[in-house]
Amino acid sequence: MNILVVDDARDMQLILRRILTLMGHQVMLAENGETAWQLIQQHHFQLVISDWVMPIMDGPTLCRTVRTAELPYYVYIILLTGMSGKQNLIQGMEAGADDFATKPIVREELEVRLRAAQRVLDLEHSLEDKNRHLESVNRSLSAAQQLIQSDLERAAVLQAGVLPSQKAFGRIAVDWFFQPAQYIGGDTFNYFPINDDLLFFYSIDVSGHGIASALLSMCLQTLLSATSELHCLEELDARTVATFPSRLAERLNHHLHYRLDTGDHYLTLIMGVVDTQLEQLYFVQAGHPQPFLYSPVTTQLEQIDCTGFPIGLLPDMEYETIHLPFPAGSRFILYSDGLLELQEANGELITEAMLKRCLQPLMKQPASQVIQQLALKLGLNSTSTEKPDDISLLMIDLC
Amino acid sequence: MKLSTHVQGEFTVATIGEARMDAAIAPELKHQISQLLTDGSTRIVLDLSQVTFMDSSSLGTLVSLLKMVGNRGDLIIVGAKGIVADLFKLTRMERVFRMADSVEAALGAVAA
Repeated sequence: MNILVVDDARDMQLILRRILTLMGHQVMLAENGETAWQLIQQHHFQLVISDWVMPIMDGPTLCRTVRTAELPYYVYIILLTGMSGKQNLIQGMEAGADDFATKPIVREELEVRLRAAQRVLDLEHSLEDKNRHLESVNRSLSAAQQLIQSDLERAAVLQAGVLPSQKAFGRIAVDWFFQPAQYIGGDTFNYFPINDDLLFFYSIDVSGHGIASALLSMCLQTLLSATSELHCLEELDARTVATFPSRLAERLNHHLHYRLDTGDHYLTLIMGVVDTQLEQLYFVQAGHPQPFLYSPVTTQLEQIDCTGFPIGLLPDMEYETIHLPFPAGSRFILYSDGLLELQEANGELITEAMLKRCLQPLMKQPASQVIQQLALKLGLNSTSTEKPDDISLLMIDLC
Repeated sequence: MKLSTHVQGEFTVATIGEARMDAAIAPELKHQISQLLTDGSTRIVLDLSQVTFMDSSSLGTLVSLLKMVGNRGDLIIVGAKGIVADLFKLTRMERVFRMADSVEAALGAVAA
């Protein structure tokens, strides 16, 4: 060990240096606390053996100076004392001394105290090593987390980028709201014309929210795109469209079970077709929240009572197409259950009945304004409240 | 996750002691119930009467447990109410699971 001996008595310094050198240690000498502190700052001492009473700076003050300096390594301090009594020990310990030895110095006793010092220093050393290792692991984890975070931010932009931007198709006007719970989410939707008369649409909520859910939702965007094999199986016309949504749901369910390993993830959806020529709405419900339909005839907003098996949960399920008249002035509103996981000011969850009450008086307004006002009412745009689930809302109007 | 179990006749009644069944507890629920199955308790009554909210990931977990039970036992859901019962209905899972109002009703129905 590198040991610093601090004593104002020259004979004491020499005795200690001789004993310690014979034990195999490297020894330096100082005659008071201040000189010692200067040496400690210049050299790496593992151990300081210091006298108690010295001119300029005494032993306890040296102890305190070393402890407050918070050196990057531990210095073990043995205070020498000719004084006896508990009070002195307490003072020394408070100052930060590790051990005490009484004068005159007995070689055997000092040997034992040095072994104890070595044990403590070894422990300190291994703790320092572990801390250094943890710090380096921590740095790698932070770097990895930052990378994931920036990837997710990028992915969020890409995910929002696949959502449809066109909002008018002949007599049909569409508008939507989308907000993932985290950066990216499992909600998605799309709509596009199949021919001059038919507009295809869907609103999907993949279970869970996070990377796996978001990737599955992107996968579904591809599976349900106009060019996918699920779509291209048939030519749609006014007759076949009446059963198309349920057949497509069955094909998708089959595909998810037998072609795509989705793990524990599945999805709920509403998917359908608006026939603008015959003014009809056809859709399939697969476990998705029950949609609202505004009728220009009754001027009422009604929730459509429908149930269905989610997609990808159980194989070979049967689905049914719901068929409703959709005259000019009708509005079809689809939403994911994230909307129903929001809390009101009183802590209660928002119910479908409440959602309907919010929407009904807004039905004469264009979809974009309805969404704006609903977002305001439910606090959707506030960044301060954390959303428990992805939220999506899709409105389809026939003008 | 709080889950208490007791044996009642041939059945193991597992009661979920949580108000919220969501993604935070779904993996633990799956682990604990599948452990019961591994240990040979294949006739399970899952009591949801204390649950007031269930999300889609928990429903997915229940279905995967039902698949695990398969033909070698039972997984009976009891005590689903409010929006939990609504979720079973909305997703037609009340047609897939055996459901009962209470543990007694479930065991009585099996005995009958």
